[in-house]
Amino acid sequence: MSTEATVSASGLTKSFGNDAGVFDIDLEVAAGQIVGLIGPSGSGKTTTVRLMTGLLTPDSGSIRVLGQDPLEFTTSTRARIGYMAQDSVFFPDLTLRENLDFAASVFGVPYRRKKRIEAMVEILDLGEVMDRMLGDASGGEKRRLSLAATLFHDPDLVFLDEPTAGVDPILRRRLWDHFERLSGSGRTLIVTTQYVGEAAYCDFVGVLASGRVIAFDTPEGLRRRAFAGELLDVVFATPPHHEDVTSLSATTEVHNLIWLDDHTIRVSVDDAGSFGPTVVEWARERNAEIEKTEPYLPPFDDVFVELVATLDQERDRESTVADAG
Amino acid sequence: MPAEERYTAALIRSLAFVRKELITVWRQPRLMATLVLGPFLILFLFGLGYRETPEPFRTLIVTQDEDSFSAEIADLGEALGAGIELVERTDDAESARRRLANREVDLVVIAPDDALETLGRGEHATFTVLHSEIDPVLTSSVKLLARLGVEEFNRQVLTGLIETAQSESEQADELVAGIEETGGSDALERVQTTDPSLLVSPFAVETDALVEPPSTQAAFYAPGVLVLLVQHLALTFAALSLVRERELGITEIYRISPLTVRETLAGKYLSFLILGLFLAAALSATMLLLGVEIQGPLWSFTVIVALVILASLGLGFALSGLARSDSQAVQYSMVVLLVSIFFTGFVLPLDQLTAPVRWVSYLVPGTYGIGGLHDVIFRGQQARPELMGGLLLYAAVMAVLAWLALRRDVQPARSRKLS
Repeated sequence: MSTEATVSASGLTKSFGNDAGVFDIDLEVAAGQIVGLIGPSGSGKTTTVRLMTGLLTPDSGSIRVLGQDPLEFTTSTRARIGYMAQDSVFFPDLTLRENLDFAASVFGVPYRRKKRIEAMVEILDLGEVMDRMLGDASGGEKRRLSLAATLFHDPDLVFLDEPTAGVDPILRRRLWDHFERLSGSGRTLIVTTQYVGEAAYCDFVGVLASGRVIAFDTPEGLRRRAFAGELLDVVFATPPHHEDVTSLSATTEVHNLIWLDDHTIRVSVDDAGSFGPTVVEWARERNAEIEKTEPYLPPFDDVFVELVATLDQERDRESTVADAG
Repeated sequence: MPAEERYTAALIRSLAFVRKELITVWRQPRLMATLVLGPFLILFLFGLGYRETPEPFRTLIVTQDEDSFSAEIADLGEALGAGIELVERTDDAESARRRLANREVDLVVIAPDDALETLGRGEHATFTVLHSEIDPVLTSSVKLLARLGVEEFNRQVLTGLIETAQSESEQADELVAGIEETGGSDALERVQTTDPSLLVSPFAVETDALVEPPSTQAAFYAPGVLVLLVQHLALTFAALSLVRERELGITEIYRISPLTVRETLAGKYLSFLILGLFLAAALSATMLLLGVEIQGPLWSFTVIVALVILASLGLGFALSGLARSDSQAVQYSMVVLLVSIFFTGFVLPLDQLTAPVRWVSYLVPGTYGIGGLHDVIFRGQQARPELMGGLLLYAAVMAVLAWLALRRDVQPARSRKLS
């Protein structure tokens, strides 16, 4: 497998006016990774994917996908790419099976494909509806058909624009399991989603807001970045003195401290594991009794909110400086 | 609720549609152009180009130099009036027929071999007017023209004779004496016993067609109906197919897939060609049931129909590049149908359009198709080379335009890359 990044973007910008678009996107995606692009509606996820697939022409910046400029993709390169659009894009007058067959043909899959169809049907739980007209299918069934059509030709690089939208949680989990299997077999997946929790399935996550990648890291790295380290909940047997706790927050190891209730504080530290004994020792010196310490893994919704809040604060600071200037 | 408020609310609800519909139409200038300006322009062009008098028939006159009426026949062109354009006088009837068959001329007028002798036998001397028209309107025109022409010819001959007689009246006594001396009383007797109608109209005319004309008017229009239906179906399907895929968004998948414009075009052309041929076969069968026989080669008929379908598909694909929605595509195809009805020779002969406007006819595949099928079905010939060549060229040009229209939907983005 090539060591060259499967996708590499630098300063990628596409503006639609009125601050809409994506700006200065920098991304590096290695082969075999699952990269999630997460952000609210209108944050630029789809535009980023469309730039990566060559559906849009960037205003500035550069991008290489599978070693080529997406605007110059050769036929053989395009055969290695799968793309699932945000909306269902197949023919309502054909059955799901006929649509899948058509998509397979468009990608040049040989006609002896019955087994593969059955396999896809199994994975995507489409068994009973394959002979139904697409126009009569539910939103979730249409999404699953799109996904089947995207993956049918076994592409090396897969762009999935909100593949789990409208899909129930059980099937969503199965899909992510399948994505992980694909990744395990060397496929690269770039997945956009509004479900922030799905970041946990990704190797890397790009968090987008207002057309900018405000963070690009591993899921764990994002948590650390959002909360300035790892989080540790410290539960006291009796409510501690506020002065004592203030002295704890003044130590260099603690980046942030918040009260959860009278007995409990949450501290942000570099390494929650090594900080546990430290805080126990600190309590003993102050005759405070700690009932327990436990690392806290914040949900990605909180991570996302925190990152966006941080971005907003930075912007406010920048605009204040600019106004003062 | 008080009645006044109820009426106000009802008015507001109705006005909501008025506002919405007007804004919607206002924001679709292409719709307005297609629905209003399109038909208006077509009718305006038709009115501008239509002329009531068809082009004069290019005519050959076949006569023998030693004919007794050669002087009068020399003026036959004038007798036939503005309806004909005298191309040549010849004594070679076979060559004239050949030229008529090759459509170098429209009419061949064959003068009676020895008119005086025929008249002497108490029979009409008959002109034969040969034509190769299949259009019932033109066939009637030829018959009328021939009848009027021979009547005029008779008038001219009789006027000439009477003028001669009058100028020589002072010598009448001598003439009578001479007749008696030479035993001419027999001739005089013959004149006295001759049918008066022969004396008034010594010359008659009969028209004959080189090709068997359609048995009925409906039969004549049948190939035109076939061509226009096939053209309309192919054009509409092609335009709708691309617009619909664009609306569905599937063209994005095409652009990312390894699919090429060539492959897409080939697939679409082939599928709609099959459909079009099925329709054409069904219409042809109906035509046969109506008694319209294909007198020319079947392969030529098939090639013309196939080319009409291909050309119409190309036009449809090209138009889809201009249409933004299903309904717009349908409107465009209806405009083409309207143009076809007026300009393809379906209703009126192309000759009745003035030259610059007639060029509009050649922007529609049906013009070539109808002309070609008339040649094959009624004349029993292959389609004229200029029609086949024109149709082939048209289909090729449309294929290029279709390729350009499709490239936007299917082509990889490199062609759209900013420099």
